[in-house]
Amino acid sequence: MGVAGTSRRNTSWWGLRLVASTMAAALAGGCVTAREQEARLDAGTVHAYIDDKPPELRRAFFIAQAQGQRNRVLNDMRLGLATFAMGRNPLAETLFDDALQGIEAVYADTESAKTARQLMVKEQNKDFKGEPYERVMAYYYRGLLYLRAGDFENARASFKGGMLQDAFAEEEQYRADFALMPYLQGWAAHCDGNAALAAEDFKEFRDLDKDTPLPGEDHTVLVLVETGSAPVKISDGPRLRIRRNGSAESARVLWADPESEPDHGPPEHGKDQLSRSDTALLEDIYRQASTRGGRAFDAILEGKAEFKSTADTVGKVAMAGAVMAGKVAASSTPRRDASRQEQQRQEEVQRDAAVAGGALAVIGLLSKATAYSIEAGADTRYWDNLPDRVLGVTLALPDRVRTLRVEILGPRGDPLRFTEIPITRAGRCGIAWVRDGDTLPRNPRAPNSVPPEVMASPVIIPPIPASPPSDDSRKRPPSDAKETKE
Amino acid sequence: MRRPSALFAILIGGLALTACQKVDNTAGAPTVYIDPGSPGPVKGVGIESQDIIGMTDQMLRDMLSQPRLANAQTPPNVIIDSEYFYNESSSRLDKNSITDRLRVGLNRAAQGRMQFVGRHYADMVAKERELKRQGTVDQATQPAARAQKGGDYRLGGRITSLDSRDPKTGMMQRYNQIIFEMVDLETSEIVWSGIYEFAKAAQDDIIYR
Repeated sequence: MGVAGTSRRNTSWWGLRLVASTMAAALAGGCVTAREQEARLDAGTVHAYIDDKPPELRRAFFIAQAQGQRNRVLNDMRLGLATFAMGRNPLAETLFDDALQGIEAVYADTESAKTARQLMVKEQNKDFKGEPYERVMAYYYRGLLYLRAGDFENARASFKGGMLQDAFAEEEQYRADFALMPYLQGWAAHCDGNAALAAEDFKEFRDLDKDTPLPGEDHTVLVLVETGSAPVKISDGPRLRIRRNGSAESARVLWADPESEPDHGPPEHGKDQLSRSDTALLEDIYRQASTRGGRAFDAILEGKAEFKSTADTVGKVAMAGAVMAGKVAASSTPRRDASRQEQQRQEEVQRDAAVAGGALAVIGLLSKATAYSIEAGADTRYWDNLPDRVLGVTLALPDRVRTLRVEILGPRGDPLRFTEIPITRAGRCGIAWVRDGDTLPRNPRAPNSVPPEVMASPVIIPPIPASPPSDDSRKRPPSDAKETKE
Repeated sequence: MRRPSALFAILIGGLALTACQKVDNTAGAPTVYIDPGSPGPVKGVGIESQDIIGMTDQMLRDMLSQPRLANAQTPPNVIIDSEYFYNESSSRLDKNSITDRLRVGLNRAAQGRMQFVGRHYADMVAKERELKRQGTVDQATQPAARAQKGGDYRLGGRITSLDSRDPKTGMMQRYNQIIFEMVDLETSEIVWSGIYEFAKAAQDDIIYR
């Protein structure tokens, strides 16, 4: 009987070890849904899509295609901005229109939204729409594209639409405070010749920004200078946190107009008759990103986190109980010198302790597995080629001034570098836009857009499929054969 | 004893994995024709195709019941285009989709009671007239006109919107107002006005709030 008891004990320990190892393997697998993976695409489909795209962005367009609907808006935003900066306006328009369509679509009672709310599904399983500051910036770039095209009404509509996205801040003072939008609304109305509407928009801007000078009635050129890098999203458990990724810089605009005297300040020392104007900070994107406060969805994530914590505690307690039961089972081995009755009693204790230990171990492992599977982290995908700040100024420049020099200034006002930029004129106004830094995405994949192992994998565009030989070439005999025949 | 334990372990492991594995196995949707007069599968709070159809149909009927426009002794020359039709709303849209539908609908329904001037084609007509006058091309079949037609009336209008959002519930609402006015091009008298208004509200899922 003692041998039988030991055998049974060994069997239960083996069973437990097997359960534990299987669970560990299961946990190591992690919770990654198929939606979060990149699709394998047919080479023909890939090349039909990417071949007319800018060569430096083809890998990113390929990834956008592979990541599909879940990251559609995010990839549209990144690529839209990159193509906007390259001056590929029609392509940028298409991308931003697509992004705005995704942002404006109302997700009510949709399957993907339901799935994203589930306990064991990550928030980043949802279709990306972006945080309010990202959505606003998509409207901003679409509006700038309208300005470039001279469509001032739609530019204003776009900026106005952007402002509406900034209505979700937790604290009232930060709601609809994206001052850049009413400023540009007013500018678009001014360019459209609608002074009443422009005055209304500039009044809205003035309520948010008391200092920045308003465009003069004779101003015809808007200069926008973007500096720094995009705010970074990090997940602090169920809370989304934002980190600044840029430094404080300012900018100065210089231009040469040979037919007039400089009137925006004295000429630069050592530079022939260059007029100049400082830019003002129109928007701090990091500030907009970080003052949003808690999201409504955070409450759900916090509920998930609490559930996860409870399940984890239950798992720990059950596992501790299992260990104690195991110790009791081990210490209850019947002594050889004990009476038969005593041996029977100890065997029963040992068996009961082993059963209880096994049950507790299973409960513990299940609770631990459940705790592990609950996805309480916030979605940290973000638009990574956004700027940190938008600076700007409006100027009264005649059509003969076609380019501007933009100097980026350090914190002490010392020039760090400069860029020559063209003025794009359409209709009554012109726009000159420059980014201090690169707008090309550093990685074809947006940050955290796919699981870490996929993020680290190389991006390989499938080669163009070899075209089958044409009927003519198949029928035609080789040239040497022809010669032989002749 | 070993087999049931192993099976149990596999079952538990499988459950742990299947709990989080979701496969997006939607079969996709083939292309279908959608009635532009009814709401489509993608909806927002902006101006959509059914709104354009509804408003232009209503304006068209209203204009045809206006005697000065539709029952004048001499059919008036009317210009309907988007030149003086302003969009001050928060909806990005191509205004031509409204004015084009209105012009085409009116032209078909008026049956000669109004004459429509294609002012947006003025440049095209001017070029052809120039070629004819130069003798580069012949006179064609129609007698030469002294000049292109002038307009008696021209369409003007404005699209405005009023937006509101509840930050707590995520509910958004947009009131859209579109006014149409026919203006006498000699006196600036507004001979006909029409208004179309609607409001839409929607609430996004909590995952986006």
